[in-house]
Amino acid sequence: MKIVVITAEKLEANRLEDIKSILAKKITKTKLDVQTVIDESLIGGIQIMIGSQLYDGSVRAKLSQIKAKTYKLI
Amino acid sequence: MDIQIPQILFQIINFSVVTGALIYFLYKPLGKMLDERSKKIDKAAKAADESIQEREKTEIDKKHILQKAEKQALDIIEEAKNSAKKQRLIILEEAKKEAQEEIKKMSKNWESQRKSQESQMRVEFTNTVLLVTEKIIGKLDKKTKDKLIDSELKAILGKI
Repeated sequence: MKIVVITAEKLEANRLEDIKSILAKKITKTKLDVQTVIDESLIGGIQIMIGSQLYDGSVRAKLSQIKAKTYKLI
Repeated sequence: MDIQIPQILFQIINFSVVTGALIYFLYKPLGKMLDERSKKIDKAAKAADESIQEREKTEIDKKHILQKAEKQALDIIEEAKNSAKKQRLIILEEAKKEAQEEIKKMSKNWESQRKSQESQMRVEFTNTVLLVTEKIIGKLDKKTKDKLIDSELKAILGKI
């Protein structure tokens, strides 16, 4: 199964391994193909794409949510 | 001196004939003419009197007509004054209403503009705050950034 880990800065090797092992425990598929992508526009946090499903834990997403909620109030 | 009767008689007859002729041919027509002239004078005098009376009556009528006209003119002036007063009041009232409407409209516009500016300011403020937050987070130390990743990873794993 293809998994893409997207961060704002490059992850250290041991840290990436930790993330891989955590994902492997959670996703019980036989083989995981983990790729890493750097996207500075995320600012911080992490995005994980499992197949076609994107899980967005980036600072950019959080700020967008805050912005949308604030605009609604205005 | 002899009195001659025939001569006297002749004189009497002659006198009588002359007198009769004078009366018949002169006195009667002259009297008639005088009567007619007198009547004419009376008639003219009467006409003159009537004319004077008529003139006096006309003068009185003229005076009445003038008085009536004067009164009508005064009434018309009074009516015009009253009408002008009413018109002035109506115009003033309308102007007052228009001014109030205008003030209301302007207040509404100002309020709307104020709200719009306030809204714009809030948006700008929010954008500024978010931009500053972005910059601050971008400059966080590695340890804090890793913590942020861990926290988000945990949240994502909860969703998987």
